[in-house]
Amino acid sequence: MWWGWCPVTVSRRDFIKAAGAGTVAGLASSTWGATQTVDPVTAVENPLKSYPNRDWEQVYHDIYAYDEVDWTVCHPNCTQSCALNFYMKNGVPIRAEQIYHEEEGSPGPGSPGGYEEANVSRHWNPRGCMKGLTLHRRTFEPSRIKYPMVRKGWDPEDPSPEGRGEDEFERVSWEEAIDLIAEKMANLDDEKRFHVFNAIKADGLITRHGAGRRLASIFGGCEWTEYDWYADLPPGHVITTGYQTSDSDASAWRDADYTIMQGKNLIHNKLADNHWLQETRERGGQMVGVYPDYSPTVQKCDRWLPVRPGSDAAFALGMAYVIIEEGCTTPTSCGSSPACRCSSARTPGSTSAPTRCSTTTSRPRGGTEGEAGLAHHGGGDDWGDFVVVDGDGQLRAVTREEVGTETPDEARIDVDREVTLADGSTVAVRSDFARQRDNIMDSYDPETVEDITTIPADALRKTAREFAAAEKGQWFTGEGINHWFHSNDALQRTVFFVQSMLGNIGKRGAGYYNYSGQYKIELLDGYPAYVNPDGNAAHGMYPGYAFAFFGGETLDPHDVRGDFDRELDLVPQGDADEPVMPEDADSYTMSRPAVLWTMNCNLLNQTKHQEHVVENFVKHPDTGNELFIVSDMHMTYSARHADIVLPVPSWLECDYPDITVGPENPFLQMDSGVMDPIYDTKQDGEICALVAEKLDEKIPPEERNVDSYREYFAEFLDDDGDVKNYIQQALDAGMTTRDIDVEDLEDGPVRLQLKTYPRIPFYSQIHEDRPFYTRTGRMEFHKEGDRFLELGRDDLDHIESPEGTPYGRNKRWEEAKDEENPLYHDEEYQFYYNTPHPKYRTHSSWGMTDWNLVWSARDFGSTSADPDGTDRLVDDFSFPTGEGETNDAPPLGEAFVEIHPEDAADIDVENGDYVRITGKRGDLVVRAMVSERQRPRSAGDMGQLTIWHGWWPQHFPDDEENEDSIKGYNVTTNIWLDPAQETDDLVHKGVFGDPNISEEVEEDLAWHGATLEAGYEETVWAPTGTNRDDLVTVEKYEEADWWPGDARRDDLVESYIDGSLQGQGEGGES
Amino acid sequence: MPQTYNPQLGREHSYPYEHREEERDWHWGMVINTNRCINCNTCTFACKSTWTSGEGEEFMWWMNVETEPYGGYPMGWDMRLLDDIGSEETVFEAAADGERVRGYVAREEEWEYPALGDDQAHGEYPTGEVVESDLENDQYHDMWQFYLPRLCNHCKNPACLAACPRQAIYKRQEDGIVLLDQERCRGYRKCVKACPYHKPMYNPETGVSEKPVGCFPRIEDGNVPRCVSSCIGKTRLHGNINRGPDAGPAGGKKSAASGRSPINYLVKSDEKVALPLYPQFGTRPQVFYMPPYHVPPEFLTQMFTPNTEQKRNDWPGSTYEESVKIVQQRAREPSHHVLGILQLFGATTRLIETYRVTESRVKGWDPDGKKVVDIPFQEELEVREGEQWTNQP
Repeated sequence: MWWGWCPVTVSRRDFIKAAGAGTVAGLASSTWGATQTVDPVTAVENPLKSYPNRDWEQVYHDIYAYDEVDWTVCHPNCTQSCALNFYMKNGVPIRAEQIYHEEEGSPGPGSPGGYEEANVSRHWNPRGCMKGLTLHRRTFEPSRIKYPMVRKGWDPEDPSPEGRGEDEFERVSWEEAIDLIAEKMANLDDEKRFHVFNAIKADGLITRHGAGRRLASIFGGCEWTEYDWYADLPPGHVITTGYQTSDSDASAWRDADYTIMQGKNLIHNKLADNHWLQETRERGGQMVGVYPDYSPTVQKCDRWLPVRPGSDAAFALGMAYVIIEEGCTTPTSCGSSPACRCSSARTPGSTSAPTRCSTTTSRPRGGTEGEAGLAHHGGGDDWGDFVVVDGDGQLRAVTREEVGTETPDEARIDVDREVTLADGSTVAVRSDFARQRDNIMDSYDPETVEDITTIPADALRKTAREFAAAEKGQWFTGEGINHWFHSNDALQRTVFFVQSMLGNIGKRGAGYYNYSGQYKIELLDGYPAYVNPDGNAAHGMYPGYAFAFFGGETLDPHDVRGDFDRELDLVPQGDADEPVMPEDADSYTMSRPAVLWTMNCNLLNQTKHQEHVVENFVKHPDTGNELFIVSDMHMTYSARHADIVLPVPSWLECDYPDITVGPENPFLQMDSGVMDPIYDTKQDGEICALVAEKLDEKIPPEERNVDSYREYFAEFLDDDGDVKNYIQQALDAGMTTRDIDVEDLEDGPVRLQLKTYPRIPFYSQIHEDRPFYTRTGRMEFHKEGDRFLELGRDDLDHIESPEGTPYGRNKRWEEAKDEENPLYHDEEYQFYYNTPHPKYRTHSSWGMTDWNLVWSARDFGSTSADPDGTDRLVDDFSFPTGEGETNDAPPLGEAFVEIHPEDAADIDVENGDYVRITGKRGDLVVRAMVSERQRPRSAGDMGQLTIWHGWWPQHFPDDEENEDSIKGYNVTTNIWLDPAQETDDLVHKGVFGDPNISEEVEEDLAWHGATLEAGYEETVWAPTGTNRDDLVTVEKYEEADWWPGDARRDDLVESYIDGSLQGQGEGGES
Repeated sequence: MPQTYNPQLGREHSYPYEHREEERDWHWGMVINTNRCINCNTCTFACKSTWTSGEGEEFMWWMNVETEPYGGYPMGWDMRLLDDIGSEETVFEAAADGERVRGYVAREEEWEYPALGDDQAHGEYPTGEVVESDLENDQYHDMWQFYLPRLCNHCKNPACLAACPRQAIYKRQEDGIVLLDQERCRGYRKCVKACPYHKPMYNPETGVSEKPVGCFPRIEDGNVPRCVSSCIGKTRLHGNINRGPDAGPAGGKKSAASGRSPINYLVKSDEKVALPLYPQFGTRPQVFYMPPYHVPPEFLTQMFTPNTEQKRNDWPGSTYEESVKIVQQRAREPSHHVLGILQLFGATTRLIETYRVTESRVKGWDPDGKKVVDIPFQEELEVREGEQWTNQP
């Protein structure tokens, strides 16, 4: 039977062969060119009118037929979470379809508990992209790990890391694997040296990798997150509002009148809910894009402003300039200004010791006369209080809770005067608004901004005017910008400044969004009940990159912080051997991972400065990392380097259900498997449970961190256990979920219980006079933290990159513009290296799934793997198996770098040739795609090279000059840590709970009594690892003697494009 | 050879078979709004996973999304034919002696790369400038790309059907879907050569050709095709292209709306917003595209109009380029009625036969007159009372 692929009868190996090389043979064989034969044909009079025998149509009915439908939720790290029906034949999924919730007759979950009950419209249907539709193919792909394995060179008694990534693996039983892990854990001198690393996006929380965090918590270990590693989140949000990152449900996007898309390729990385954005345009909304390249999202924009990479903050500062200059906002008094809630009068740090001014004391740290400060922040801190100037010009004390209409009447936001202190001296003060305005009006006029950004001044003016005139304006910035050392806070702080001036906060269709990083675990606010049981909490290990400093260190920690003048005081911390943290960062935990266990992430593939990390940590004997465990579905780059590899089921194969939420949609969903596992896999939760049970055997009760480790996983292990009890407990402990019954989730999505639908960030701040999560209760633009002041980062400013600039490094424009970056000018590293999120993968997930790979590889992706005449340098994909053998598959595609035609011509490269990209940290060889959408060097001095993020090392060719070199797209990227973000004194809201109302909510909620936090918190406050600041150079590596088809080489293409290809006449040569 | 009137061209031309005297009551049709398309290719994967995941079908993508102007599956398919045939001739009129349709056989390697040119843009980098469109002032993006979903058009003058020497391709009486009889086909590949859209494909493992089936097993159940129901961009609406303004209520039920189907309105009313792909080839394709409004109309005129100097059909404007501009403007600023129909896109897996647009809601009925859509223009804003609620939990 050739119709329909049946994985039961075709092995994966055979299938891939058929999908690949088989076609080549088929196409190349004589069947393709078969000569016509003439058979007797039954007469058909007129097939346009009728056809005699249509019984054969049953063939397609048979292909379409299925015997069973079951549903689950696809929830990779795209953060979207989409429910899908899987159509099964003989127990095997043959295809997936998105669920139309609430629709009668649609199989899968529906009412009750569906959209109608949730009071959302069916306009949310359908959700789920092409990745969800190949989940079953991913489940059967050749890179799957089939059983637990141990690296042959790994000796538990004498663990050397040196063979990692090279040794063969040996199959072991689950019993053996669990025992080896528990034995290592039980023998640790310090429990903090047990580290769990997983992506803490808001899925897999209970029965998958979230169970690893629970294990680390009860064991007393550390946890890292992707935030500390991959580092997407926008710290400027936390600096300004005290809140992790603001965003709304996607359905609010549609209400915008004007959208600015800055560095965000939203049409490709938020697929499921993207239509809400596209629909703004057919409802009269305008859209302007700000990108260095012609991002695919530009095609949806009315205007594209091409920007020099790394200069994004200057664009926003220029927008602010025009808006202020033209009086689009009139910030005269607090009562009438739309910004009054966001920008109230405060004293600046105009003297050497910046203080808040008080009418009674000169330096009111510690509050007034030793009492809790007026600010009602609980006392015991040194926040002090502040004053406003009222309509009569009088100073009035204000608490952080007196916001909005509770602010004293006529409080002015534009203040520039002197005040008399209690000791009789006077000091000059300016309000925050006045201070930012003065700086902006001094330094960021559109002409200067044009010099910085290359965006024409008149286009900037026009955009600013239009944006200010729009009733509701929304602004998105991308995580690519978050990866710039300076833009990541300066741009974000300035966008908030603009949005607060225009009143674009707290309204549906207005706001500032990022949607980057896996951060919305917040929405499941009862989660601490599961992950931190009985008050046990794992240490939040930070910085994740610190492990690169344990042992074979070759990086200079000053350089990593852009501290080229060696001015920072770096001090020893934790059990580090070397000084690696700035002073005043005691809230950051440093601990060497003796046992490191990663789940649900491809740590080493996604790491920046990959070569350094592999050589100086993974393979370096001095780091003290004795056991590296990787749990994964696939033999990823990370799994290849593990000592113990544990196979987990795909979502289709999971025994235990789990829950998920996402930042763009209001739904809580529960998924469970649809088919029997095809390999000897176990779900993370069960693995952790078995380890916990084994720990009880190995660790005497008096030495345990808790009475029994097993007890915390009993629902997994007991015969009558039900893990849904864990889910229910977490739901019961959360404001957003407390009325939800886990059984209802069996019927489909349930809406989370929040203040508003759609969820609008800061709704209560604007409409109910509640404070922002800052010291002043207002948005804060000027920052008084010591580190901000030391580094000159206390105000809104554009600062040139520490590396990625032709101008002076790490300086304000005024100083930088006349200087030259020697790396750029002398060494000719003149490209910036862009690694945007891919469309057909999520990070590296689906990286080896056949159809996704063919499409990911674009011009170089072919179902025929290696067509005749090609000269691919990538000739095989290889995945080690436990038999000491490898599972090989033909390459359906390979990685490529996009480069502008001008820049390609400069190095004599044509489409399809191979190039070498070299940075200060490493180099790689990759195929080149000549691409007009890239920014050429001629456009603004810095050219752009783009490699989509998430390729596997197998997708890159060997470098003949160094065949053992480390491969991957991250070998040239850097680890940068911004010291402004390594501080203890930044005040913010914790992940879970709203301090504004934490006393009002019931005591059985997980965050009852939560207060504001300060300093490090995972997914909230820590440096984002930045990688965009790296400069690279590119040279030709090898000429291809084969190229893919390329319409651009076609003689006809020019007249095709200008619409003149087709002649008017009867052109056919008959 | 019989002559047939082609309303898309506004003239008669030859076609090898006589048409039925009366049009079908129900004919498969589709409208695609390219302005909403995000090139996720979910439709592509939905189609392939449903119909062509078998042996010999590895290279087959019945549904694919191409990035214009550089994409193409098979590569350059439209350039070849545009170069070969003048706009005053259909593929039938231009046929060589001994053939019924003018076409060409794409080479093996031209089929090998379905994602060729994906997401690539055309134009010079706007150094020191911006890229901007302003339809009212005839300004369009001078650097551009757009996404063109491509599928079988279930043509009213199917070239594949015309070319098949065994009469193994036929048009279904009840819905106009064009099918290739898998039992009768002997793999001559005349259809592969003839179809200007290159959607019939040859299976080297079985030795017969295959062509897209319009998801007829789903249509028979009252469901829309997979490429429509899977479209997360809500770019598509499927239905009965033949249902005009005079038709009675759906299913004869009084409670259902009467008159045009929603796609008939978008394609055939005075407020036309959707155009066929390469109508000049003469096959009367039944997939209609709302054109991308930022893209220069010269290119779109070549792609979505008869492209002749003389305008002969009943489209708005006095030239075809003017027609394109008018339609672009309508796509940019749709009327309330068109916006209402746009709410039906991706609203249901069920066929929508008739519809009604009111001030705040849009409703749709299936062919039996059962209401299958009732959707608001706006999501209701809900604010919970009580100070314990928060959006930052």
